[in-house]
Amino acid sequence: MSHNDPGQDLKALFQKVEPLDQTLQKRVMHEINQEFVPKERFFVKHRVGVLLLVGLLLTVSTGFAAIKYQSLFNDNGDVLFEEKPLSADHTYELDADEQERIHRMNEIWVNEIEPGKAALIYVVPNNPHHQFDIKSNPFMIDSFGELNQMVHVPGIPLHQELSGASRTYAFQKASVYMEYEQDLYELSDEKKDDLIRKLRLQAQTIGKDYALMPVAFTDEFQLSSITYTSGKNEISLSVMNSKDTGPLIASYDENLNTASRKLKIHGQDVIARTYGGDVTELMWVYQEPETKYAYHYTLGVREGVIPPEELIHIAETLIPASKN
Amino acid sequence: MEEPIHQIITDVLQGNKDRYALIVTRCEKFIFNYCYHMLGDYGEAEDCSQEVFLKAYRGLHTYQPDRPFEAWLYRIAYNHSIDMLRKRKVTRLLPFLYKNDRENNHVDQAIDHKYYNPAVLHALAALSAEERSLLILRCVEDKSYNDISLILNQNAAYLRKKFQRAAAKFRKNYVSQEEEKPNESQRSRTRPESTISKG
Repeated sequence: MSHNDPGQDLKALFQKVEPLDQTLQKRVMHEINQEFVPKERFFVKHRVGVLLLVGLLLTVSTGFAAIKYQSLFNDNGDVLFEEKPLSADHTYELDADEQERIHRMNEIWVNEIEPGKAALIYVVPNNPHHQFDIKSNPFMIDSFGELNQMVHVPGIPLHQELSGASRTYAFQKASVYMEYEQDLYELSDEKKDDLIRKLRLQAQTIGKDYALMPVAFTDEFQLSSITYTSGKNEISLSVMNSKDTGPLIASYDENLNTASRKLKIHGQDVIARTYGGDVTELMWVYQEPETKYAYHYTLGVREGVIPPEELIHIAETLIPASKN
Repeated sequence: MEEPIHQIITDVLQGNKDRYALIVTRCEKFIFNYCYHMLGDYGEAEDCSQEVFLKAYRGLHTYQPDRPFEAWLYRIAYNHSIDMLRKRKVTRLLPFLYKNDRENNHVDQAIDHKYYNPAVLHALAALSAEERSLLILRCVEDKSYNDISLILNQNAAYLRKKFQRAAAKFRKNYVSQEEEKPNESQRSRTRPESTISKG
């Protein structure tokens, strides 16, 4: 092919670069074979937000129910949500010191940090590498107006009431985790050393085995769990702002009698999880077109007997109609 | 005679997924080459190309046979390259979370710098994603404006003008890169930059 335009002299500057022989083809076919073979594995517990439970779940006995693991994609084929068995997670052996430190840190997290607050936690004993963590407890909200101020998903308003097929569920309360202003990963080594020095000094001054330093929040939410009620029946809707940091992976314990399948609601893929045969949880992802932020929604039954059709009916009122 | 790609696609869609390997083999060189020039990094180009073929596999049922398959694949590569460039910004903010193993792979870096003139990549990196894509498709992949119009969803006249501006911008950047280039003894002591982009 010949081109008669002024850019052609540039061609000589460029060079063709090729992949290594067959490496790419092998990688692609390996992924396809892994990804598209139905995996007869097992199930349940959301990894995000319940990391503390993982250790407990691992100790449960060995009964299991076979399921297919599901994934949710956007229109470009990017994975937005992926289910995996908990046993497929990498497990890291913690040494005795680190186990002790984390145990103590969890106690401080639960007992010393108030709702709606975040702090750096530094534990003095069993901490030879001077580790510290940022932890927070959620804001507890009982006003829908206040919730609306904090939890904002562009283009998708929150609902004060959820309309089921036969009844209406009214907003009752919510918990909201906000993003931290300080990101540990952004800290330089000098800044970290400086923080450790201050935290150690503080612990020494107050005579405790730990130190806390407050951390501010941004105005962006990270996770919200909203409760709606109708009589004794309770429905929960959680919204997680996963930003554009890649797929959210949910790891499921093998020991609970659960399964999942895919539904279509307004052209949107929705995962329906069942416990003992009844659908009690629907999950879908909304990707905001401008920012590409992924918002993960989970609609579930918290209390009472609510048929799966009712959940699906509610999801139909929450999921926007697909453009396709 | 080479088997028509549409026949292979039909076979894959009918469940013969192993046939997809033929599509990868046939298209991997130009997709890899494109991703490499978009991203300026050998390792990232491997990851990007892999993801392009996986996305194409997942979305094969949406491919419309009245359009060239290559153009459809390039379009996926263009979109995914942009996604990767966007993610680099996050990577810079959260380096521990998103550290790429390939940053530690000195073999990959050696491949980059043994076979490439870094000034070209630097000059490309100063262009927008669309300008970069246009230059690569014209100067490296040797595509006509009509071919490119199917990939970038722009008309040929617009692309011709856009290319001239992009080429002028690239030339200017390249010349200034060449002027700033250290002499050989300095270069041998300088650790090469494995990822070059303004994102």
